[in-house]
Amino acid sequence: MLANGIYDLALNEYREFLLQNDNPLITEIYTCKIIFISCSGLLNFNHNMEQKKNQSRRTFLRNGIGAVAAFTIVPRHVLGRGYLAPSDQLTKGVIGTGGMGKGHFGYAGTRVVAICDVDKLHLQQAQEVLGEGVKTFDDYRELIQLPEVDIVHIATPPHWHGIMSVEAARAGKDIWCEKPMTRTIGEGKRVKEAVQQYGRMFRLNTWFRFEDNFYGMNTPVKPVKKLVNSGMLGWPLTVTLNRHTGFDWKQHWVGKTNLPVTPVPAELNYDRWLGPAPYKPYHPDRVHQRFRGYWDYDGGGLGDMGQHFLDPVQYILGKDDTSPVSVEIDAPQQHPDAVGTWRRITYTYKDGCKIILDGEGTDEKAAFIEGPSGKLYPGFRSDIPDLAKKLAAYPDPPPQVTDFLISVKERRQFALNEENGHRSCTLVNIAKIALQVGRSLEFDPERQVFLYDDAANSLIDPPARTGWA
Amino acid sequence: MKKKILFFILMLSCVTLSAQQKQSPYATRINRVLKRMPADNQLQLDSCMQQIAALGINGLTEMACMLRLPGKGDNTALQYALNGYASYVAAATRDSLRTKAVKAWGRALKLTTDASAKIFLIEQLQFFGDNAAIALLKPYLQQPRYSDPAIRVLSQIKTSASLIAMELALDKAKGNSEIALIKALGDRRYIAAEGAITLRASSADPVLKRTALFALANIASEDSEPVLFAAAEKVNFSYDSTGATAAYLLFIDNLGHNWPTAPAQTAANKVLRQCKGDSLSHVRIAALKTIVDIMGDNATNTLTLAADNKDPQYAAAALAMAGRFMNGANADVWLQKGERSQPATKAAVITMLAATKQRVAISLCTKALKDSDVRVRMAAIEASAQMQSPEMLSPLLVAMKTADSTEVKAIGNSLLSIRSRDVSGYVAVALQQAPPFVQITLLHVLAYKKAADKERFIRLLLNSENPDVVTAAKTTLEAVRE
Ligand SMILES: NC(=O)c1ccc[n+]([C@@H]2O[C@H](COP(=O)([O-])OP(=O)(O)OC[C@H]3O[C@@H](n4cnc5c(N)ncnc54)[C@H](O)[C@@H]3O)[C@@H](O)[C@H]2O)c1
Repeated sequence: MLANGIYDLALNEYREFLLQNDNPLITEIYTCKIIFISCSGLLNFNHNMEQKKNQSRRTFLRNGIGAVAAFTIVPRHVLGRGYLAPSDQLTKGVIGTGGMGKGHFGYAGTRVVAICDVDKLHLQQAQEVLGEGVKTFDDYRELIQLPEVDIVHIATPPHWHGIMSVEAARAGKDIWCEKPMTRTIGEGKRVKEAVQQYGRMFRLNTWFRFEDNFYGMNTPVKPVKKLVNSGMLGWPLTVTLNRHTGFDWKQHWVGKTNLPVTPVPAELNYDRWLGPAPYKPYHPDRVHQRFRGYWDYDGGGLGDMGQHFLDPVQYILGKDDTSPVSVEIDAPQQHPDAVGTWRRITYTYKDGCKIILDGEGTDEKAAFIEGPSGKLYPGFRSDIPDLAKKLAAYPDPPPQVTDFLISVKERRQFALNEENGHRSCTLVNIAKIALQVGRSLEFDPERQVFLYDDAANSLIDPPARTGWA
Repeated sequence: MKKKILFFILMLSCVTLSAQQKQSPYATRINRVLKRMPADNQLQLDSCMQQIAALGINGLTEMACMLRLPGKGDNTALQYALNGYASYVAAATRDSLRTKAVKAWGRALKLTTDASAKIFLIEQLQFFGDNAAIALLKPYLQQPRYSDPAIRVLSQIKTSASLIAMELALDKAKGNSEIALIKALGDRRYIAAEGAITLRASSADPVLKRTALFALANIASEDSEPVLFAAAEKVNFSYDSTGATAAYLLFIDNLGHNWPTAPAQTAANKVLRQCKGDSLSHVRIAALKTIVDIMGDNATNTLTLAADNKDPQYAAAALAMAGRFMNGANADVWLQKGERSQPATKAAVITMLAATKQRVAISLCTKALKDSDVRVRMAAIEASAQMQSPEMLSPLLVAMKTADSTEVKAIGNSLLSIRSRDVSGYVAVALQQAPPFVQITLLHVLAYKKAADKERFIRLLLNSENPDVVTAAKTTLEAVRE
């Protein structure tokens, strides 16, 4: 096992370096100075780039996990510019090169070697960004077979996330998957099983539980978690997510009904875009970006923003290994195809903790968190006097692995992974199901089924369409 | 001629009039419901659904037959109503409504000729279809246009009658219908279909072959082992379009849930023996996982051995599995393992024990902080932060005295995670005897903790000979007073 702290520093240093020198030529030219800390002590040597190229990338990665001692790139101010040869970087294949897929190209310390899309135009545009060297595919199954791909990034619409994640795990790849993790609870369970069966690293692409300000709360999640752990607010807690506490539910992501049948554009392989989703005649509203308005592929504003908003709340409440026992809805009836709006969704956990999604922002005075002994509002305002000072005395929450490259190289579970990600996606999915069947539901968090409701249970793992090639 | 025309007009108006008089007895009621679609809330929805229920089988049939051809009218209100009713009758205690709904659907399916309307109706059966719906669906199981939704519904019905219907349909099914039936029978683990599916497992069509292999894997009958093994072996346990390797691994995993478990274990060991290459690390891991799942609590020895494997991915996966099976009893075994292991493994064991919050990790960490290997020491420092145990306070502060700058920083971070009100007190005391760099780190801890009650200790450092320490002490004093 690498000395993680040292490794952290090395990567931070390296990240900083890349930020300042994002010209690939510079990285090609400069010589890497690496300190290897061996079992017996420090061994400092200049590492010549040419020599390094000869070392196989796979061997480097393999050795990165423990066989060789920890390494750190010596800070720039000591040795000049640091360097990590392309052959030592983690490689990735990106499936889905639409709006978000392109955002997956740039993470430092990795390079894209393959891309896949079922829309030729999107693929072409992505290739123009990445250059000729990148391999292109229209079938993700070919991409995930490439031996040179370490990490498979999945940035397709949600109805593909589960199937592609499972296949990537089976091919021995680590996975960086877009939110929402899966469109159904059944798919989520299978992703979790496959990732663990094949010993893969999985990260879900939302990050508020470990970095950035938590939307309109205007504060990172860490101090909020610390506050909840301190017990100062009491227990059980109620969390309200509405526009007054900083969360916009994007209710504009609704679908349209009575869509006219439209010819499929030549550049799109619509059958493969649909994949596991039931066949519905093509209309441009169903696909790129706008798929969010249809149950077969996503779940409106709730599907789009739900896991961004709910995952940190699940973490804050310490519910990463469980699910609510009930979900109550106040919403207009939903169309079987097109997602509609909703007014209020209330989750209740066994211990009485509640999460309220206030879609219309009716609770103007709601606190973000309310407990028997105190409330917390956006900007870390509270009715507890001197909160910041009092809180300082309490312990920080335990650290998490928040750099996926560390996770991959050291085989350490990422902060937001297949287990807690499945649970926070289940929050989204049980509410979607309640909306779809038009009633409040009771849920068994252990068995992950609804109580006394066949219609709701039929949506937990609905059979997929077969026969797409 | 004029007379003839007049007569014709008269006849036409009579026919229209009589048609109007014969207007369906349900039309007004149906329209009233449709006008209220979509319902604004659950109360309204329930009331609308009760009105639909009151239409009876004939009224409901009529309503279901009102779906128009695409482009020939707007079906939206009807879709709301029919879908709403499909999920309404599937709720508990509505069995008699459900039975009537299935009957109405059956009639409507016969009367409806438009394909999109038929598909819509079939798809709604996924919510409330039961054994009575099977007969309605049988005619569609081999029809390319309808087989996919019909099979999806049968798959959801999950009774032996629905499985038999699918098994019989498989005989003559072709193309997508065949694939969908095999998948559904596999998903439902229908052992009676094993023979028919095995025949397809050697198909030259990779999609059919793949579907059959996974179906056999799900059914998990011991008899399928040779077929599945041969398919995986043929592709050298690599990933291919037929998914042969994944199917075999799924098979042995499912087999491990059957009794006796020995065949699954034998198969998994065979995989471990045959898959040696670097690129098959994940295949070995999957086989190990099956063995460990079968052995349960008794897997500790297997895992401790696996943790020493020269393939670091495999070793790391073994530790992750150990973490999932961790309890007080095997934690002691891991403690001993950690104490006796090489540095890399020792560090990994420490991390695993801490992540699973095992108290034994405290003693291991305390010793590990003095280890000669930096990986072990760093793992112990990070583990202390994970465990948040106050018992780690003293050992961490002692370790700081001999630590290098990276470790000192890491210890500083760990101190912030310790669950004790005494952190500031311990830090303040340690502050005085520490080397300058450690003093600066500890001052940061006090500043972060806003330890105003430790001002006295901080002020002492204003007299330090080291100017950096003096600056840090001043900043800390300001921070704690804020
Ligand atoms: N994390 C974030 O902040 C964030 C932001 C935006 C979007 N997203 C997520 O990213 C995903 C994609 O959203 P988007 O806005 O980029 O949508 P998009 O429609 O712009 O892109 C999706 C792409 O996937 C392609 N695709 C569909 N099926 C495919 C298949 N079988 N194989 C290969 N390619 C396929 C489409 O052709 C399209 O190019 C969604 O899950 C969305 O929720 C996340």
